[in-house]
Amino acid sequence: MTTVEMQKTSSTKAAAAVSVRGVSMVYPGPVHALDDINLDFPAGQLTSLLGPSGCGKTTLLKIIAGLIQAAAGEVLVNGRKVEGPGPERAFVFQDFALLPWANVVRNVAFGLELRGVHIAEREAVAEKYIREVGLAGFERKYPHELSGGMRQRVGLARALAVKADVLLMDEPFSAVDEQTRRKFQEDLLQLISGERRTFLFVTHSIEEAVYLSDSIVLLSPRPGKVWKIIEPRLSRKLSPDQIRREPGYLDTVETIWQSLKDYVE
Amino acid sequence: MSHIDYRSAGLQLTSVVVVLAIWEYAGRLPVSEAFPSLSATAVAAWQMMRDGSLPQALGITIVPMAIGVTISAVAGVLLGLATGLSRRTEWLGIPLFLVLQAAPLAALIPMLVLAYGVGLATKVLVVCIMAVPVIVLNSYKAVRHTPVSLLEMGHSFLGTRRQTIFKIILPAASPVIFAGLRLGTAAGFVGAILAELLISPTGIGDLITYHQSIAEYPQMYAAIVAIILLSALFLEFLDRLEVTLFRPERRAV
Repeated sequence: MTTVEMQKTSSTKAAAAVSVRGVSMVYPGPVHALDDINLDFPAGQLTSLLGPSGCGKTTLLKIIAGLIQAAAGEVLVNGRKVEGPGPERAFVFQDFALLPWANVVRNVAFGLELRGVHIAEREAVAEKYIREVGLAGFERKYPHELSGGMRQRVGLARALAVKADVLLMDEPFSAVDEQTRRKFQEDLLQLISGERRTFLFVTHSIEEAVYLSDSIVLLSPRPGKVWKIIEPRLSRKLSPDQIRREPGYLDTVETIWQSLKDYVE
Repeated sequence: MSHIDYRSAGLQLTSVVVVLAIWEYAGRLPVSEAFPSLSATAVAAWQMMRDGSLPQALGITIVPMAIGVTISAVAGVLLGLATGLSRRTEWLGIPLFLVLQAAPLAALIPMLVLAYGVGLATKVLVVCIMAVPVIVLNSYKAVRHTPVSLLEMGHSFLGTRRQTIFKIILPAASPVIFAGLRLGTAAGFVGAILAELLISPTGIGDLITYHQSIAEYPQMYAAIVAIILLSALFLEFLDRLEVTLFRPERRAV
């Protein structure tokens, strides 16, 4: 327990890769989607945004991505203000957003293709990440020939291939069936341990958030506000099955559920 | 996969054979004096091929068809893309083409004859007014219906406007654009035959009217079948062109 605590203390001191300062968002209606959000996302960690539907978690992620303009406030990535999408951030889409006419290699290399990287070089990079996400042998397949879980692995490989410091994942497993999702979560933890990057992860699954995250930001709905920040503090030395049976894991899941209960109608 | 392909090819072949068999049977009944059997039509077609009247007629009909369809395809796709890609030009063309698509355009033919005479120009124009609206509207809709998540993906991976158009919007739009081209081409072919029947009898239109007037029904049907085959072959060619140019994932299957 002491070692876990120590790791945790050192990691909380890590510099913020992403800082959100007073961000609000109002959609025409008017719908108050986000209200004065202030958050720091530490570098090299996986932070989840968790909350019931309508809490604006995806909106916040897209504001950080530079895909949506906030109504007020600002986002800093590595100390620089976000004006739009940038090379230091990469996005993983809920619906995968793969090009149906492009095979796996071209899809994974597409971010590099848009940056004008030479074909031989970008395909070499793509093939490396295709292996890492466990899709070796599927390089020349097209998206319609892959299962949902495999398609999202392509989406993840594409985001990893551009070598961004910050990966923004918008409910990446929500369109994937439960068994595939578990396997994918375990693989994702494996991948993260090898990559020194910052992950921001939007999910509506409490178990998923607790299992994967270094810290969990709970958002309350209408308007979306930061409501609680929870650090699961699970030992990564345990096997996935052990973690899922660990009292610490189960307690955290239960605590979050008790707090969110009031918002679920 | 190939097993299913063989089956669907087999089914298609069966459906063609069934239709042809019914035709032969109905022709032999006979349903009407003016309805020849398949075999009589085939014999007439063979004769018309040998005496050169059928190839010659096809050669004449194909001229306004080819010119009209080419102009319509190029102009229609460009106009559709322009209106689809820019909100500013949208109002310019789209209402007009919506009206044109709904209008029975054959009614305009007498007016066109008054304005442009009975020559090639009028026939080309008839092909164009039949073909352009559906091509423009399909290209426009195709561009507008590019999946939002693909556009967001291009944006987040720092695609320029030019890259977004050529690497995302156009490939995503190509199936619907080509569907429009197939419909437009078919409508253009209808226009070409209408022009030959209504304006001045030339080519296939002439063969149809002439053989009808002297009650040579097998020859008349041979001319009709010839133009249908030409049209079907051209549409098949368009389909292959699309797969070759834009749809590697369909080639892979």
